[in-house]
Amino acid sequence: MMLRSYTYREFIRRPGRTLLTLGGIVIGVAGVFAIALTVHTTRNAYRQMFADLAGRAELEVVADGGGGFDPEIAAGLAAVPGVRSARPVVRMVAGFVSGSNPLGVMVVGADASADDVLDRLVSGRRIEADDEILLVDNFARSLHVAEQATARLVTPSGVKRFRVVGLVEPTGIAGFNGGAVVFVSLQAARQLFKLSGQVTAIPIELVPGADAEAVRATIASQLPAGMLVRSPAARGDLAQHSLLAAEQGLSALSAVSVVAGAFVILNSFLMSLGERRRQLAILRAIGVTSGQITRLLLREALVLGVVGMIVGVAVGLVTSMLLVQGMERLLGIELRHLELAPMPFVEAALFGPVMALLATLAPSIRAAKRPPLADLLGLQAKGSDSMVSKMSRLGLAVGIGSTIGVTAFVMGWIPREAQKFLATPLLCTFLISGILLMPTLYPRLARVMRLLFGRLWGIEGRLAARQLERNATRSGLTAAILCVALVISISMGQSIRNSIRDIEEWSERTFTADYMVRGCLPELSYSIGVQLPESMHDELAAIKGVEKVHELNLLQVKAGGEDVVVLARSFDDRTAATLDIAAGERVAVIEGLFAGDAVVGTALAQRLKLHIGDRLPLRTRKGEQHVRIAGEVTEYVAGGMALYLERKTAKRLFDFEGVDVYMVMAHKESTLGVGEAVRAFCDSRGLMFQSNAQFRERIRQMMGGIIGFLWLLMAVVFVVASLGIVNTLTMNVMEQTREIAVLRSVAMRRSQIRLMVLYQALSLSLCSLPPGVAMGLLLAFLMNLSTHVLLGQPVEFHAEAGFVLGCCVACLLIGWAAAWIPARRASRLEIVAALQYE
Amino acid sequence: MTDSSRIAVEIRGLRKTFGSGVTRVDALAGMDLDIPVGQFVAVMGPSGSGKSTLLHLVAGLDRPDAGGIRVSGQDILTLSDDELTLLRRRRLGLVFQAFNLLDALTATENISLPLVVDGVPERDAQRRAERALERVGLVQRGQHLPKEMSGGEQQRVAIARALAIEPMLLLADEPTGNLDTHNGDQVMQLLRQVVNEGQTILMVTHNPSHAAVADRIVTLRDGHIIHDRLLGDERARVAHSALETPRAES
Repeated sequence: MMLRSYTYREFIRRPGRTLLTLGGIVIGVAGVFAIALTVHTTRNAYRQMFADLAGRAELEVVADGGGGFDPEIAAGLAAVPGVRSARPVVRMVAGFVSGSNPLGVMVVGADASADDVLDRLVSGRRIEADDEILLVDNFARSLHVAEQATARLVTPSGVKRFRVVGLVEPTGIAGFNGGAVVFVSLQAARQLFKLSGQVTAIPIELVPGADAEAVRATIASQLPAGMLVRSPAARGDLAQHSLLAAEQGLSALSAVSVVAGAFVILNSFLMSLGERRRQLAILRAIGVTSGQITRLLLREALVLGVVGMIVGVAVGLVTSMLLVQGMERLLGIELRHLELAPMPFVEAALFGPVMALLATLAPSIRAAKRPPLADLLGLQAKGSDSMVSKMSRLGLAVGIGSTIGVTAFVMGWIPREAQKFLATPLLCTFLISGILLMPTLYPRLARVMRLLFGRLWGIEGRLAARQLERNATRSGLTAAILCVALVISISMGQSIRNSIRDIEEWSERTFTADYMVRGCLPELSYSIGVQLPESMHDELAAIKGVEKVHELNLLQVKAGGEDVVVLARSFDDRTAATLDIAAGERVAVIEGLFAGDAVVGTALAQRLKLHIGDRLPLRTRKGEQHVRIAGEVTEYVAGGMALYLERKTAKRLFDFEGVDVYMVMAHKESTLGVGEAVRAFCDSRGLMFQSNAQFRERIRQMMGGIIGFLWLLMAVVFVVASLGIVNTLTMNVMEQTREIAVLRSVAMRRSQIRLMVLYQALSLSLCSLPPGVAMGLLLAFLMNLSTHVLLGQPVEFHAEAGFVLGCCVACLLIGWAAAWIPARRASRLEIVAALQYE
Repeated sequence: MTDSSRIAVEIRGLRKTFGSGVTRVDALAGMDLDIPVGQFVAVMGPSGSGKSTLLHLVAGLDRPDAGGIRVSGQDILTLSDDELTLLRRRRLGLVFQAFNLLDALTATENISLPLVVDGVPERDAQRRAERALERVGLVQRGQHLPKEMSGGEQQRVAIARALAIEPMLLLADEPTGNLDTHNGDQVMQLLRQVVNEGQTILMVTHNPSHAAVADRIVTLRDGHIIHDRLLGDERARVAHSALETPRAES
């Protein structure tokens, strides 16, 4: 009880230190919790979105590659044991004309589903005619579309007008993608999407208690070639490929917050132990054993860990709300509310206390074993040399381990499934080895800095250097956190900037059309766009000044067992030359494309271990078909899980109608006038017009989110680094209290004392630069290599001198700024009291 | 040969060196010393003569280079760190020049802490702490924090903490060094009083008038005992009677 109240009062007596330690735990817990929750929410939202689309159906039958099929098989499906109903529907994407750009909506045409929907009618009535539609209540309200209003849909049959006859609540199928669903009659849907007598899906409801897997197997055995049965949520799987890069970025941020948080805890705990040495020595002197001291300190850490965990979860919740919003912008879908799954809570509950205990275990044991006499007498303790040598040995071991791990990763020796779990721990161990090795390197670096700058800094600088060298371990650890801040900024920054440059170059090479015409902005959730009438090609080609019009369709298919996107595009010699070829001779690749071969994304080739000349199995309406691989291209659609086919080849294989995007090329001399004409064409039909510049701007906007992530990352690491500096310099000032008082009493002005402390910060920052820059660039290079392994995208590595220099300047400035408070405190010491300080 | 049960501390050939080469200092250069039970021994000498080193070695806070120390017949140099801690917790009371109270705890809590740590129920520990406070005349200051007390009061609390465990030996390192004359005299009266009640004390001091309160003054120089004398007949009698009738050890 008494030791507990001692612990409590120690927290109260040192609120700053307590809050700093808590801050470290909160940073770590909040980072891990928020990112786990965001990733879970995003992944689940995808699966839920497609599950919503299926309503109560647990299975669905669709055609391979999408598109329509004869609904006659529904009768046979309904007779399968365990099946309650199998009602054919049409589900296709259309553009909802609203404001400047059409919005992508899912059009659902089903006689029966209207009955389901009827239960959820908020107002109005059911559909009675083919020109009537139902909208989802919240979607309609957000667009200010009222009941009885007229709405326009962009479809393969052109732009059609409908009357809104009712609104439904956004649940079940109506909740798909935030309510972006339009209900029409089955007949109307067939007309809109030119599906004469056909449907696009048969959702299958099972009787309660039926074995879904058994029913699935039975149905699969009965289906004709070109049809497949699947779980509705599985449609979200393709999106997971696109999410991988974002998730890797978030995992890296999570790792950084863990390392940074642990370091803040370690740093503030070491400071706290430093301040309390005498108190602990008294406890030892009066009979408290080292084991009891260790337990006392660990209990303190545990209490802070639990409190930090609670606060961290709260902060993490707010952070994940912001992250989810960021993901919504990046992915272009509505993620709904946070998915409060139990696992992130369990992880946070374990992580806070465990992180606090791990970060404080070694210092606690060490503090408890210190001989009390030296601390009672206020003497400098021995043994920091042995600690430094232990740290450097451990650092070397961890460094060698992480280097071997990274090498294995880069060389592809690690199984694919383990790769995504290993990337973050490898990053952590790499950073930790740097921190552990820094105290050994620090004295040498400090000597070099003193030689270089000693003369410039005068007496204040020399005194500053002496104080730092007196506590080489502490100084080394502080330089280490600055070094880590630099390593993270340079490596992540350089890596992200290289990727962004690559994406921009890719979009510049690949998207050469002057203008694009589409039904709405492509959304990741659909994987397919709004289909426009094929007849529109001739209308666009007839516009004066238009040289060529090419078509592009995006089809979601199965290739080699993987969900992939087929980019079915009409090529000519000029457009084929724009492919960003990563493997294969350009001429042979283009010839192969025209001859019916496929050109696959590098990620897909790597995943399926395919090479040029291999045959890629594709599931099509006509059963499994094999296409030869003519080459590999760098491709960012669906995270590289994509392949190009000449549109005629794709039509032959997948038998689809309509066009997702028209790409318009203008004659060079009349570009501006053509743009105006194409825009007017789009405006008159409620279509979306995008110039090449606008398209690039949209890519840049999407990249803006990633740049924002980079700034956030840099802010976190530099805030943590500044906390480390404040801690160390505060401790130095405290230890120097008497010395500062002597200096003040015999010679120095307040400003000189202030300068002396600021020079300490500058010296620490300068010492962190050489290893920080070297490790940062090395890590950036390794990350670049591992990106290729993990995502299958080779990205050219550039080291940007300007960016690296900017990070160094930021490091120096932040070091200087963080030293301001301790410097001010040192300069304002009361001389008489400070002379008596022990 | 002296009966070991009547000897509180027995020191033989004690050596302790600090530093090496030109900075080498022989703090203790082969010292022999016996302290009988119930005796109040003051150790004097100039700075660097080895008096504080002697105290630290007897308290088990430091290890000698050579020689032996027996406390109540037990060779403390054979004890592990935890065993030394238990020795301090149960048998040695320590009083420092800088008081060394825990700032976060009240006077009562500071005194009862070693007892609680040793497993004494908290209520009992508190009662014993209150008795110790009564003994040093500070019963009304039990709930005060160290910073709310004068230096003299803090030192009396430190003495109470040392006495609360009923030690067989009380070690005091310059207990009046940080006090003014009035408070210093009060502390010395207190120490004299507890010796009169049977306590053994080994005290290091610079102050001759405070040393004169002891039964015996041992003077050190360069790690050697240069003078060892018993004071006044009456106090000598007290000491001798203690030697004849050893007090039961706690």
